[in-house]
Amino acid sequence: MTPDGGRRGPSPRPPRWTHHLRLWQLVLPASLFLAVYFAVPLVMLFWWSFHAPGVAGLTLGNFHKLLTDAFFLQTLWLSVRLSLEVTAVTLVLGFPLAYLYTRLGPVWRVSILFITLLPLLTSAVVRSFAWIVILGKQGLINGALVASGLVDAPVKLLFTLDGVRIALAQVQLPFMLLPLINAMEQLDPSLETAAVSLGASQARAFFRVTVPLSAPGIVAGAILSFALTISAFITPAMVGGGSFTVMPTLIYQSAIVTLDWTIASTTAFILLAVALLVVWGGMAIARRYRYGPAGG
Amino acid sequence: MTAMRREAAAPSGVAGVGAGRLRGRLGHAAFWTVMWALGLGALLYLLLPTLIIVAASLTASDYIAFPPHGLSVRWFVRLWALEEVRVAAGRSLLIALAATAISVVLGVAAAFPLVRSRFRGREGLNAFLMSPLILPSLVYGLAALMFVSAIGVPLSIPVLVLSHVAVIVPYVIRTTAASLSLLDPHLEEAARSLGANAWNTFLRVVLPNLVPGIATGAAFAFISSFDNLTVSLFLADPRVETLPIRLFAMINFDLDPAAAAISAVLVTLAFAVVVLAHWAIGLTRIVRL
Amino acid sequence: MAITGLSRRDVLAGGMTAALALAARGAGWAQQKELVANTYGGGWEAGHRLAIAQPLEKRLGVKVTLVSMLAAELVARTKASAGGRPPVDVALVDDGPFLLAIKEGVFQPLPMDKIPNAKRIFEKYRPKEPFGVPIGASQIGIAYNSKKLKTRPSSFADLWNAEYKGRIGLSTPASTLGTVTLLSFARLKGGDEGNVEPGFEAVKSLLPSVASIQAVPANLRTLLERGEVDIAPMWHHDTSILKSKGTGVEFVLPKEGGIAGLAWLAITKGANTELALEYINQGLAVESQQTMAGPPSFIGPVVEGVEVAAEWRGIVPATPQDLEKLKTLDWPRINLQRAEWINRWNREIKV
Repeated sequence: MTPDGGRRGPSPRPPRWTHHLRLWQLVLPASLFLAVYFAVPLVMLFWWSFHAPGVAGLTLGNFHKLLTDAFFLQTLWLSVRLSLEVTAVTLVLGFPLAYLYTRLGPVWRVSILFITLLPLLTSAVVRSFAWIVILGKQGLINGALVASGLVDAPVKLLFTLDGVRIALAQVQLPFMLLPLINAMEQLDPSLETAAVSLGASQARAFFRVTVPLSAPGIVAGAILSFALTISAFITPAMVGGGSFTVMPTLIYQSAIVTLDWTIASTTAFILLAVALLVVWGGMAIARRYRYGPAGG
Repeated sequence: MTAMRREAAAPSGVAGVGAGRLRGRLGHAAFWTVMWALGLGALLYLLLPTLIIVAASLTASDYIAFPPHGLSVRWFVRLWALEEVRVAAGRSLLIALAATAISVVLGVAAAFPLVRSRFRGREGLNAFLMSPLILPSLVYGLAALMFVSAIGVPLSIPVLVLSHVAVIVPYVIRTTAASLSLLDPHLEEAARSLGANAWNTFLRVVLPNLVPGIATGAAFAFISSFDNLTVSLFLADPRVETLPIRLFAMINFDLDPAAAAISAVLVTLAFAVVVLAHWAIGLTRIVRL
Repeated sequence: MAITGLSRRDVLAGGMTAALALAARGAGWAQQKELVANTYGGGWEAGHRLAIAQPLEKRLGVKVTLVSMLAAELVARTKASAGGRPPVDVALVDDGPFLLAIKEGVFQPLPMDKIPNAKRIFEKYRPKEPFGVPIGASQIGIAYNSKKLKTRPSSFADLWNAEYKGRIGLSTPASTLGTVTLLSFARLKGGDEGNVEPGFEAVKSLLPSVASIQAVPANLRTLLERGEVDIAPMWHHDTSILKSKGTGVEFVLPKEGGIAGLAWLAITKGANTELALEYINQGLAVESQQTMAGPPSFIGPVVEGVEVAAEWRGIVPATPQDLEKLKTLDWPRINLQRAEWINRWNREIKV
């Protein structure tokens, strides 16, 4: 039996142009495309952030203008604060779910992944819209709060910062969850069982063994969640309704409404720099925690 | 905490053991209750908004309501009548198909050297090719707008398509590379030993086995392009309004059940992609990518 | 397989050139038959689509695309596209941005003789410079939910009424509505376009009663519709939309005088002028104006011969006499300071 199903004759010859092809060259089209259409624009943005309208040559003028403006600093701080809060919430909610994932059977696992991936693949516009519907005074959340007696009157959630927090946490939860699951899957469950058999309570074993060992996943998830939240534009715009400003709003406004691209670039640059700083800071803290009490 | 250790290590007498075990069991129960509560809460939190918007799209009323006031598909029917929605949807489809096609060509090709070749800087190149996934699309949208304007190219559908390619090609590369690395090299060896040459082996052994991986990557890429708002907002000319942009505008001006209907359609699309991904590769394996 | 005489490369090159030429021709051809016009979203877009775009498409067999773009973005993008195709052919802008855009040089002068229907424009609305024509008249007053609030407001000063505490909605100066609100408050306390300080003070003193501040007027309308706010300064057409939905929202013209506003149509430089003129002419036709004066747009007509239904009279400004009772604003002066007002509001006003 010949590989081509029994037909006689020589197997088809490859096209002549493949003769001169080296395997590594196959990566060139994608690499060149991204280099030109992805990297170059970003370098340009970096370059433009050091320019200002009406000023020739490189200048720190925009940086000075922004970093001395009270409203800008206020917005920057709000963005950072909001993103940290949202990341913390996604961690608290995501970790138990990731933990359950590792302890449950295949049907549960697929279901959890399904429910996690579905919002990811749904447009941010749709997800934000859903929250607009849910957060109204007659919406689901207020309905539940009033019915349970936790509040006397409906709470104002739509077009507020609180509402955006709630919406953003749900939008970012999958980004926290997936790295967590990834990391925790690779942990040996017998480690925790061993700790329990040595006399630790379940909770203790969890906090002393599982959590520290999941640190890489926590860090990865937190970084992703934080970076995406601080640059989120759609959800704060729709669910916040323009009642407050975050960094992405400023960038969009200066780019599209006022058309001052140098300021927009500088703002974007500062956003990236601050995000990176926070991430590095977080990783440094995480590292110290890992080599600290866990050893003692 | 030292008290627990002492107790567990040296339970004093039968009563001590019993008390220790009871505390252990209560602790065990409490722990799992909390875990399950938070876990299920998280699942509900993830799922509810999607369900609610789909439910709201089936309302018979003139305004957005959840729970829906009466069930009806009239808003889906209405979508078809809304010319601007039809046009935007068609445009989004065209852009997504074009961007996905280009991404598949670029991405599948790139996956091979990343998995099979050994060359210096391979890790770095891989990181570079994956970087659009972690860079905020807001920043990229701005950068792309400025770049295109600087080189003097007017905004158009091809410009938008290419910018989508930049942000979606990593999906194709990643799933194809993962699929390729999982491919049993023995298969190719067997084909070669039976007399097939390299090209034939590629066509008839390697490629068919890669199809699930490529298809999944392509599906993710497609829906990312179809859903994309941030990059499109920056690069969109009024003449190239995509469906997410139209939806965004609709919601910002009026909370209409028609917007909910469009959303429900997008959710269905996402649903189809997840099902495809599960069928092709299996969701549990995708997580490990 | 080699084609005798020509190498594959030649065929490819030839094919591409031919394709490009065809595409260019096609694009040019398409351009003659295509128009992009700006509207505001919601009711305005629906009204313009029904009254102008669709009749035009039917009559001339062309394609009209309606987009909604804020005035600031429109000006910015048009300037950026200088030399090429502007983002829209026909622009719709409010009074203030209209003057600003003229100064920025983004509109082309209109050959009024090519717009026959312009002869019917009310004398009072006729433009001083031929850079645009009015297309709709609007007024700003107070929208309040009569089902939920017992006291009918008669003036902006009534907003400080105890019954409205915690139920007021406001707009920021980022929108015309918000700018007008700020100025109305200023005028209440003795200020004007040159001295807006009393306005800011007034807003700050009202803050304890304010439930929500929105930059986008449409959001304010949403909140009013869903009962998150029950009273707010609002455009008459937004209020009419809410009233027509049976929400119980009513429109009140303040006794100190509401504020009048005109919306203008203009043609951007580099636009498809021929079709744009047709669009404008269609917009000024009596049937179109009649359509737009009714639901879902409720836009006040600018030409003679339009009948406004009885139940909407008093809300929809039907004649210049209606608008005469209203104040108009010194937009050139406002334009100079608006950015500063917006920044100051962002910094100082928080709910």
